[in-house]
Amino acid sequence: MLFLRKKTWWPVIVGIGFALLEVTSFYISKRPLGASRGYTVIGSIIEYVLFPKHAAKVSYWQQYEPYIEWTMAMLVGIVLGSFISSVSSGEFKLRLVPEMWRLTKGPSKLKRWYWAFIGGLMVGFGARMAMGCTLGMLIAGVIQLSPAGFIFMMSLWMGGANMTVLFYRLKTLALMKRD
Amino acid sequence: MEEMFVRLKNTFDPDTLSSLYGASSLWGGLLLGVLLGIILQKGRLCKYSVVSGMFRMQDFSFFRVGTPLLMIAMVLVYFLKDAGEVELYLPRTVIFAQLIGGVLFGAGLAISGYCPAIAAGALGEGALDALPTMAGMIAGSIIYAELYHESLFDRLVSYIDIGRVTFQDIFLVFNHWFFIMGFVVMCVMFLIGISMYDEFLKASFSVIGRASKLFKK
Repeated sequence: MLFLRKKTWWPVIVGIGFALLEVTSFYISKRPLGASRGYTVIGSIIEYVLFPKHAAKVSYWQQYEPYIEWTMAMLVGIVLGSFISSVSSGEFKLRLVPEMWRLTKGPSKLKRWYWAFIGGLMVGFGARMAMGCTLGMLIAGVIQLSPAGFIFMMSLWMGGANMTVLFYRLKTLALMKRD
Repeated sequence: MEEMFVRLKNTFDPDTLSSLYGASSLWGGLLLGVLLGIILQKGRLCKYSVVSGMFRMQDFSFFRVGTPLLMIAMVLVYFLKDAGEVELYLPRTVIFAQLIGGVLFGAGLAISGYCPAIAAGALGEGALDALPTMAGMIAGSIIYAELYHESLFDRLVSYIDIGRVTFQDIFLVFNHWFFIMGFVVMCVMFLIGISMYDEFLKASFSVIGRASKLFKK
């Protein structure tokens, strides 16, 4: 397995592989790839196990019934595949704070984990509101020429780029004023 | 306590393990997930610095992977659909909800640096700060479900709902290959430009910048 030992592949080859995988998913499972549904079903299962009487009243769980399903198996598969790939290329390393965060926001672990939780909250809420995440809405929407995917792509870019400038206090705006 | 275990056992349905094909089969999800995890890791996509570098305009891995992905997958899916092998699985288009939800999603992505699939990939790679992100995603979807219960929010979210449509339905174009051709041409131009910038134009720009600074002094 020589190609697994390489650290990176050329981006175009990765893109072609991803596209073939997407088509395989259409062929095998009759649906595009998707991940955020799995998190919603985990939430549904948690609520069903802890408070079954309350969960029966929530109308949103009628769409996401508390049964283990395709996207949850997919999440487990992504963790496994990434583990296999990073171990075989010797890149696997446990780390608590990413390198780029350390450069801009300092080495504090608690701060990183706190902001990761807040960001995850926004990602989960936004994904449910837009009815899909980057896999299930952006990629699947764009490749089927649905306007939903294009709208989601534009609004994701608007939110992300503006929030990066605001949150990390980049000097981009200051530079634009000075020039 | 025992009731909880019984309820936990109820969530698992053994019929989902019976075959590889079909939308509810767990084996199909696991197989596709392993391949997707390998591809995400080899493309350097599941790293905080790459996601954050995309929004900072420093790292173009996402554009360089995403452009061939979108155009090749679009051509293949429509080709197989015309051949009658696959069926489309269209998402619902709700313009207001997708605008607001997308802005929220992007803001969260800029802060935490992991989107739902990439968080799982980063966890497999050893980045432990994907764990609070995953917990946050579960908590966020629970909060959404509790809010959705109320009718005002429901009406607000489904404001401009135009159903499961595609562009050729909206513009009444008889042949979808016109759209695909235009998209592929734009994608190829973008891919060539961004690859050239990443491979050697960035270096030459910095050389030119340094040289012009020397001349000013």
